[in-house]
Amino acid sequence: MPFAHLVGIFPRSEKVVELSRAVDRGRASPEELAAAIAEDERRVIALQQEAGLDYITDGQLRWHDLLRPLATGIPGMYPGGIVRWFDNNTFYRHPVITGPLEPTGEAILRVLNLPALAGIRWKAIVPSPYALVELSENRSGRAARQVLDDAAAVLRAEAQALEAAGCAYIQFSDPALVTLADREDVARARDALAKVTDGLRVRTALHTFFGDAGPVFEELVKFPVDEIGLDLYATSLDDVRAEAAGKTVLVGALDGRNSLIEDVDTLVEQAVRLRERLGPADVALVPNCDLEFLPWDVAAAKTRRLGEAAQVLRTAVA
Amino acid sequence: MELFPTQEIGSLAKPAWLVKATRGQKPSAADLAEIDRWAERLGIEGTAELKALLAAERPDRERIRDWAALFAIRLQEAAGLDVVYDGEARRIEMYEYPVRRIAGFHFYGHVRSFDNKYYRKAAVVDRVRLTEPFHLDELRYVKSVARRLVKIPVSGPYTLADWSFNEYYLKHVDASVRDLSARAYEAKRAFALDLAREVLHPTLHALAEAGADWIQVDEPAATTHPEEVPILVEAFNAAADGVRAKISIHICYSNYRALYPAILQMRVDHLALEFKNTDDYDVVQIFKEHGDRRELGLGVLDVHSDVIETPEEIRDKLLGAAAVLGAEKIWANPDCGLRTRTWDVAFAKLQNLVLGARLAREAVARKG
Repeated sequence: MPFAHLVGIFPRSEKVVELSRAVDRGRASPEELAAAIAEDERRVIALQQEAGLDYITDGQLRWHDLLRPLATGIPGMYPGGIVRWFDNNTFYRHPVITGPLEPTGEAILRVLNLPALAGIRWKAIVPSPYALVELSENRSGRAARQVLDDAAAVLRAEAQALEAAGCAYIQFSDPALVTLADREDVARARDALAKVTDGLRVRTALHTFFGDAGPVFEELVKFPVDEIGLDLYATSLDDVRAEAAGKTVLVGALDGRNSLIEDVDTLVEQAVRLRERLGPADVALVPNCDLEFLPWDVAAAKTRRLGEAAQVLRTAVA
Repeated sequence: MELFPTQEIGSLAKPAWLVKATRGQKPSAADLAEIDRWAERLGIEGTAELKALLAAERPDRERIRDWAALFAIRLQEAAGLDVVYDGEARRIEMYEYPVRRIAGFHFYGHVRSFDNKYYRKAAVVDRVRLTEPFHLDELRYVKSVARRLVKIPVSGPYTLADWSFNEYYLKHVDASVRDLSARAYEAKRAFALDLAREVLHPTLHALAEAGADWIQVDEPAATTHPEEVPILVEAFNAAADGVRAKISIHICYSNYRALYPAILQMRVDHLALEFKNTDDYDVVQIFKEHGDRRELGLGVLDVHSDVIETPEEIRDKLLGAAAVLGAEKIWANPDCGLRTRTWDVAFAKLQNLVLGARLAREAVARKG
């Protein structure tokens, strides 16, 4: 049965934006800001529940970027300078790896609002080990292969901790795989992810975005996860030559980088086209990427629309 | 003009007294001392009027901005630059300033730039239309006081489109185009071309008629999406069509290799690019490989560092590029606007830019 959920960081509200600035100028306390973020996390959770989404996130509102919780929480790396985040007018701090990475299993849990997620079927979103390494700078003197192994061990500890904390679904985000990788990289990325997911009982997904997944889709379906995600604003379905090979496919048809609220028909049509073309085990309607590129109100409206489209799609499929 | 002419690229930091006046605040004693210090350094007289303006109950902000522009112009002239402007003293920044003067846009709220930094991003919700010509008054003022050749920077159509949400044009893509990525491309093209034809084209013509000898079109987003470089070129040509002025393009923090070969079709006289940030001056070779004979503004000052580049280092970069493309094609400039540097740092960098260009000239002359 088709389902739907969010795949990345939700934007911060206007109130949090104002409070962030006030903290910078010494006019509000960090505690006031933290309280406002926690309140927004509860609002994002409620928004997804009301929209009927199947897995719920806390919006990752404490995350400055996809890599930051690991860059700040894992011994052996730290957040470095500001670097452009792919083809966006947005930036991230690229992690600098200075030595062996030490698995802790605490970095992601530290930035989740677990009390607000209690009793809910929730999902966690983390970078894939390949993305973590590819988007970092290796100053450790260790070989690239060793660093990738380190990253896999780090993420395995995080995934196990998430599973133990009640997480129902772990998404590994990887924009690098469809923008920077060559074929050899894809094989290395798959092997690294296998070290993370081996033995996990939660549902797992690899979500790709910002790049054309068509040329590597045949390889992506061999990754050791239950679901594969595509960004349909960067991937032309007409150019995807392989089939889904029993995987569920995340249909990234809701544009996280444009404010136009899609029609339900447009979203459903894309899911139907993908089902016809790739023959997946199932489909999930999702945004193509994080919604953090949008203002809060627009992201909220898109989340509601995603739920409406998923409902129509379920009826159509049934 | 002599070999290796020098130019500024865009914005300078706004003095504290200007920022405070814009916010309705009074200047501090330290701000007033800065006025005196720079006035003396740059040979500016009559600052009593500026101080009176700043102290007024209802300050004349336009006159205060005139003063800010004058200080920026004199700073560049005192550094010895051949081509100057006003450091964009009147503009908030390069996106919001023009977008506020174009009908068809709507601001929803803030989006994140990084960490806790945010900016306001507009959505195009209707067909774009120029509501008021912009930059004309500032050009007239600069022309009235500048003692050097003037170059006016203008935000380019592709970057304005790329930095905006696109609603109107996406709604109007032919329904037969079903692929989402193809729809997004078509919508981007229509948006950028409308900005070029309906907004930039009349603006550039108006500036040329008002006496602009040289217009710099800023396109920092040029290679953000390499597959869209043809849109960049098509929009640029539409904007600049028939404009009777020297036209240059400024691009920074981009993959210049992605520009070729499409940019060969761009009808532009001069490309001013950032190089110092990456120190990848080998990129100059791509001009030669593609037979590109246009002028090249070589970025030799890092605008994100307080380290003052030495004249000798600047000379060597200029001579290196000249060896590949010919000295008569090479201009010297910062990578981008120096607005993130203090005026002291910016001034020192620009002074060395001028000295470095002089050393390069002398080296060429010695070779005969």
